[in-house]
Amino acid sequence: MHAPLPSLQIRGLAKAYAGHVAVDGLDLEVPAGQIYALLGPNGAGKTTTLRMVAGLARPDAGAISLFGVDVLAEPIAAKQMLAWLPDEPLLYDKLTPAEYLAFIAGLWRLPADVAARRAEHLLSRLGLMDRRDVRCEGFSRGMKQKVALAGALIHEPRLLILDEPLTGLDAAAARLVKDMLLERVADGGTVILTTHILEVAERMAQRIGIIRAGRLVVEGSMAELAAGREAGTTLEELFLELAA
Amino acid sequence: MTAAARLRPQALAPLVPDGLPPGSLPWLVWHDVRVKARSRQGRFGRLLALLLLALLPIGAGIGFAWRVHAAPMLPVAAIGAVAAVLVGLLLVMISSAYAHVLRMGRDRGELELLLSAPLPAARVLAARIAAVQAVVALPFLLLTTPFFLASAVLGHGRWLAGPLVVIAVALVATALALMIATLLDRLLGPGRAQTVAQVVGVMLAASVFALGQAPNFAPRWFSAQMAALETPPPAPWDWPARAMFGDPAPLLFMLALALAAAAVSTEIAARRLEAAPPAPTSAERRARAARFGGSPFGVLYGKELTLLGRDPELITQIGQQMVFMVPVVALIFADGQITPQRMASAGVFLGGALASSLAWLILCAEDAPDLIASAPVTRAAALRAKLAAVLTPPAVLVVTLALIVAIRAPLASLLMLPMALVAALATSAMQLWTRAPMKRSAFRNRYRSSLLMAVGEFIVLGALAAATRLILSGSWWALAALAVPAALLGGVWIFRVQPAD
Repeated sequence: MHAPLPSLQIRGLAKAYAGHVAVDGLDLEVPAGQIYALLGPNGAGKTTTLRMVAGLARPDAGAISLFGVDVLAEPIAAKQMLAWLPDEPLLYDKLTPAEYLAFIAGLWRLPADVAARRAEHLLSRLGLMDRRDVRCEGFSRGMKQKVALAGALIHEPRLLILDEPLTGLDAAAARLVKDMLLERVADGGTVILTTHILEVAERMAQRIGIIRAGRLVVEGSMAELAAGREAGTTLEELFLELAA
Repeated sequence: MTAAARLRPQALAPLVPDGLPPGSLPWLVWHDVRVKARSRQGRFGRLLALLLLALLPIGAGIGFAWRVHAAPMLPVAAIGAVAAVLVGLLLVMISSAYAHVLRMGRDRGELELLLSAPLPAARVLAARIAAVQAVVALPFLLLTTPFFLASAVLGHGRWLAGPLVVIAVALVATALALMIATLLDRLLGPGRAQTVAQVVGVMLAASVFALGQAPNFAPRWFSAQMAALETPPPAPWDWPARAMFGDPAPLLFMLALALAAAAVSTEIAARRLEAAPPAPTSAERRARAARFGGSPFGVLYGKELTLLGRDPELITQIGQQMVFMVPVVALIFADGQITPQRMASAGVFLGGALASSLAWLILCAEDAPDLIASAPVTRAAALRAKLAAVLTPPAVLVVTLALIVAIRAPLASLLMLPMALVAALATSAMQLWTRAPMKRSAFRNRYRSSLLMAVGEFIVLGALAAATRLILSGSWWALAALAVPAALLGGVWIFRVQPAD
């Protein structure tokens, strides 16, 4: 019997910008059906790594595969399975949330009836139904983040990559987003997120990877990371010890 | 030594100009001007270009002052022409002031920072309006002051009133712009008011430009108007022109009128700005939903045209950039003859120019580039869809012109269509190959950011327009005209910007 394919497999990934090494021979494997938190100090290479996974930047060296599909050789097939949600929402101010979701659904070739059904569900779930036909230009940061999240979820990606997904959200919205990510995983999806809110990573992620200077320093479940340390060690303490 | 210790009070000196009490009106105006100056890129190069450009009005001003040095102190024969020029100046200044007033109302982020400071709100807003008045007056002062100074040296001392009248016209224009903005806001609401004002602004600018080209388009009509201007208008319509030449009573009247208009409009506009909502509300922007369906090509194509159609400011800016083409197009009709062949040439030029603006917006400026890049669509497919969106509005324009031309010259009409397509593709390619991705909000300054590119584009379009006319007249020189854009495009291709990964 074959082992299930990992959702993401990275081997020897490297990327430098103008002489600065952002990612330096990174190896990483993310099992399918989990929430994986990729942590690291500012400038550690988290966003660069995830941008390469999403096909937004080309690595200088290394290999990336999503569910066995080579991202560099078959970018379209890989992107079909993936959604990328950066910390700054990717929105068009002149479109309404409903139009934005229809646009995303079109790009991912979703049948119109399926798209309409899912859009209604997502907008309703995120409390945006009364604003569905209002242009996004006057929305608050949190509302834009919710619309962008709906866009990322509408095509039910097998792998959802989120860079600081809780930025700008109030407590209720943050809770809602966390619930929706957990539901996505319960439905068989995989979520990779970066966050500076370590409690979120500690409570939500099944596995945590900490990178520093473009290299993976440590990786495992919270229990594995805390093994050998005194009881009650928090992720914050671990992070400060390993990533500093 | 720590970083904190190294930060001496002197390090903060540039933030507080000498002699200006922090928080005072001049201090606020200075702050505003500094922020505007710093928002421009390549300050040194721009300053150098400005200095070089300044030599032109200095030379022209001295030359013209010498030419009229024998004129009487109050040249009655010139009053009519000067009055007409002042009316044109007022219209242009209103258009410029209105654009600044709109921006002032929209870019409230920094304004709110100042309003949150412990300063009187009226002073903050008055400073903002004073900065608009300065920006409106400055270019015209730079253009005209050398003439007035040279005239004063050559014996027309009273003509030093000229710059004061230019400032007075700027104050009146800004006051009118503020009043129009307030009135339209009340009557139509902020969204519609902005659209209406922008369209009117473009039409105003187009009228002034077209009037400037009247000697080319309609030489007889222009001569008749010029003859009419030899008779001075009746009082008080001649007062602004008389004030220009230092006639004391009209000058005092003009200055008093300008100051009163500035004071009243500042008061009203300051109240409006203070009371305005912090950001444009989207509640009233409920619109008929756009439909995105079918293939990714259709989705991207629809998205681009929808975004374009919903942005009156961008449409206005495109209109303004097209207005700047009027003098060039006028060259095609230089001797006043409007023939179908010349219309075909003009259509090629205009189609290419419109495509250039749209290519900048659609191909180079993408507000969510990562979204498109992360979608399962190849870069080539996305580019094809965007290019189709770029070509659609020029196609509408050119086909309309072609139908008009076809009535009298079907062959010219038939040639116009492929030549306009070549022009549109050429300017689109130039935009695509030379621009790094940027935000749509930078569109207004696109020509300012690369003068070389603007010149190159004019050469390509001019050569293609000329080639159209030469082909229609059966001249082999058409091949030479076609070689120019081909060579230029080849050069641009060699030095093209590679897409960043």
